[in-house]
Amino acid sequence: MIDFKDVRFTYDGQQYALDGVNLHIEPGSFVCILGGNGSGKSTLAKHINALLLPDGGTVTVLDKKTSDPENTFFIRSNAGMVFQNPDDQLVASLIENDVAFGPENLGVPAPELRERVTEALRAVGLQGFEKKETAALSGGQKQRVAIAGMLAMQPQILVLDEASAMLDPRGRAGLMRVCKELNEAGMTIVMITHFMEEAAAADVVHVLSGGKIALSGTPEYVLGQVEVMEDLSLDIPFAARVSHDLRAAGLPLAMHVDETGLVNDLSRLLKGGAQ
Amino acid sequence: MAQSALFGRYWPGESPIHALDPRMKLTGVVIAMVAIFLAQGYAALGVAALFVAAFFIVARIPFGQAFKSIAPLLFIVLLTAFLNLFFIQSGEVYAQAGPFVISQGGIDSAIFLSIRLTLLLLCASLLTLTTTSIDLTDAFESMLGPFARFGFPAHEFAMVMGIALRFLPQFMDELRTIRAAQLSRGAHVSANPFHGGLQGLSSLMVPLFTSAFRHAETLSNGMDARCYHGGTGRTRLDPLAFSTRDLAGIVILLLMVACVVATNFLVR
Amino acid sequence: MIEFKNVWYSYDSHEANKAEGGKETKGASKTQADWGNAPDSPWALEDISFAVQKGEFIGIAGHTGSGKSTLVQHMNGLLVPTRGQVLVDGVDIANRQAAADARRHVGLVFQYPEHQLFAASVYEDVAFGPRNMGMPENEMDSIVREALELVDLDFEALRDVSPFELSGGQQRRVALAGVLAMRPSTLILDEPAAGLDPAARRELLALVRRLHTELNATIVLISHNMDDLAQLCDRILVLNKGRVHAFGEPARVFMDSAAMKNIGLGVPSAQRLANLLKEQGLFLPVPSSGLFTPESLVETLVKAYKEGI
Repeated sequence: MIDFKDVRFTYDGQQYALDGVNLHIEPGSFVCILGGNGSGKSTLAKHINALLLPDGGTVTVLDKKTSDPENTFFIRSNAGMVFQNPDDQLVASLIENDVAFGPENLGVPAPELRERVTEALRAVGLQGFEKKETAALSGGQKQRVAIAGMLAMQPQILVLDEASAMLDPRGRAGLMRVCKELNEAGMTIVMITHFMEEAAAADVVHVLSGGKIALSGTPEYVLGQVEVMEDLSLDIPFAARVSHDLRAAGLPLAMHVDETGLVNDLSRLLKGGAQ
Repeated sequence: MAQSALFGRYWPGESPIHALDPRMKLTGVVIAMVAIFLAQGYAALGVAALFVAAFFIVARIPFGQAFKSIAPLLFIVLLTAFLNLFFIQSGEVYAQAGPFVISQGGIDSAIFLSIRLTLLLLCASLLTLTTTSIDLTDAFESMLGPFARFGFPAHEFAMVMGIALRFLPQFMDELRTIRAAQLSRGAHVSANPFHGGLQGLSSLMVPLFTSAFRHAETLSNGMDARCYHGGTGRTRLDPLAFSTRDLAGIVILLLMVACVVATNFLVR
Repeated sequence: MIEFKNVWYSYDSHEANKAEGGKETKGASKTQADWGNAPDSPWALEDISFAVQKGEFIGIAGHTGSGKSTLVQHMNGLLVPTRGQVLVDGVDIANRQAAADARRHVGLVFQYPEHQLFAASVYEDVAFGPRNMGMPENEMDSIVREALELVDLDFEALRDVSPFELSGGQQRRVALAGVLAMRPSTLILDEPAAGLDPAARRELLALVRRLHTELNATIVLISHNMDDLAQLCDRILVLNKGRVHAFGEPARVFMDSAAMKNIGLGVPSAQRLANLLKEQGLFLPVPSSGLFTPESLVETLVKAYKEGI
């Protein structure tokens, strides 16, 4: 569905922000791309919907090359993108006008526009918010409106470029829930983040460092690589940290990245130990 | 933060006035302003004021909020009043100091012009309070459309205006935060520019501008990502359409002009 | 020392007094923005009383709209209570002069402080505060140098550089230095690590901790991160709907996990894990300092495994 082949990109002609990235993303998957500041993760995100074009290599989205200008609108309408700052990406004062902005640009006729707006707002849990002002929303709600604005273009892929970085925990949880629901309904989700809890919920995690993919795999595998992650100055989820340290202290535990798994394992172990 | 009616800000509602075609409202405001200018005496001005009051009642905007919305612009009214008060000399003279004379004529025209200006501001405010920025810009675009064939960028003009209106409340909030932050660093942001105030002013303006550029970058990315490519081939969520209601609106406004003119003749 | 005595605050005091008078507030107030979680209440802060002692490290928790930012803006006189008093070192800071004096002692670092940088060079920006405070010009070099060194920035290398050419993390440090340069005895930080990546975040929190221990500064830290609050703070003030929900040592504040959850906040990760174990019937012994760090949790678990519960 999305393919990066030896992608290189530079902003200033000297340093490569992406330095030979190979990546394959399956339809319907929930993919998380982790990385610190300056790892190139936002640059990578902007390649998915042709906001940036590779200097070397190719990016293919839905079998179409992003480098061909003919494909630009097809790719952008099929790969929606939500940005970091909730205050920067809404264009209209009223929610319904903002959500309609994308499909309006695509030339969708008026009666269908209305349906798409209603449907998109419902999908992000903001039904009935059509006539509200964007300025009066919380950060989390604004990001959900931004998602609705993308959904109204009926894309197959949703890219979230650090969309939760400026939200409070409650807004972050709401955003994650919406993404999970969309993914269950078949949407391919690519989430760029540095929050480990979000990575733990993905199907596949890619860790980006210095413009290269440093580590790929299931969250259990990637987030369990405690030493590697620390070398890349990334955090690891609390459960991974605790199970890693417990294993180091000699407790016969499996490596866990989610708390439920760790608690069940611990419970079995400690109850057994007491008998 | 408590939100209240502000000039240029939309006051959500579903009144008949909210529902009017924005092009009609734009034209209507011009007609109402003509009516206010035509009023020659307090009686005629009073009639115009009654109409304006009625519009606010129909729009379901409390009078308090109506005046609050024009409060930041009242200095224009005061300035006009003062200029008239001091520089118009006719009728009985009450006080004199150098070139400044306070006379009956000055007082009259100060009061008359203040009322007239206030009514004009209220009309303009009613337009922005009852019309979303999108509708307003659509109306501009539609009405400027004929000029597009002479190369006038009607769509772009309207888009820029719409975005400016959308970002206005946000910039006000940001300015408030920047001001609070610089005050915390002991800035003299309200002092006069000759006493360290110039740096105080730039400590507000530079962050505001850099913030505008920062917003602009993401905004343009966001618009690209949503396939924005100018006005051609774009559809509208609510295509503008005249209805009989709009016709009625125009009739009422013409009635306003007629009433004002009639009062001019009847009350002399 | 900063003391709040029965502080009430409303952004629209007229509206608030109307509501107090028992009259129904209608029309305008209904369309008011939802700034908090009590949109019907005209009060952003209600009856707040507490005191920050000299040299303390205080945390403030509460989710968006609970009144945190409003509260801290009272600490240096940016906002004046509608009712009640705020005392800084025993002086009521309600009037302009007192507030201006308070700002010499109480430094306030806003969220995303790098957004307030404005000067042509790092030096000029950092010197802005001290100059406003009337600190002597012939000492400015050493004042700026000291402030930049506190935040681990190189004075010689950066003094003439435009702050806008620096990376986001460096910009934040410069902004922080701009407040530290005023040599405040109390430092208030509103989400200082917001938007930073994990590495930058850890460094910044370590820096805050160092300011507390080395400079003996009183610190007030607003954060959404319960782990950070529990590990750093002497006492934590929890706000909910403009009221004090709890104020005390971390172990006491986080004791009631259910209450914290009810107001939309969590508890530190270690404690959350211990609670999950409790649901499975495993009661871990809680050390007196609380279960706030992965280290303390691991230690407790290892002990439980070796000795049995």
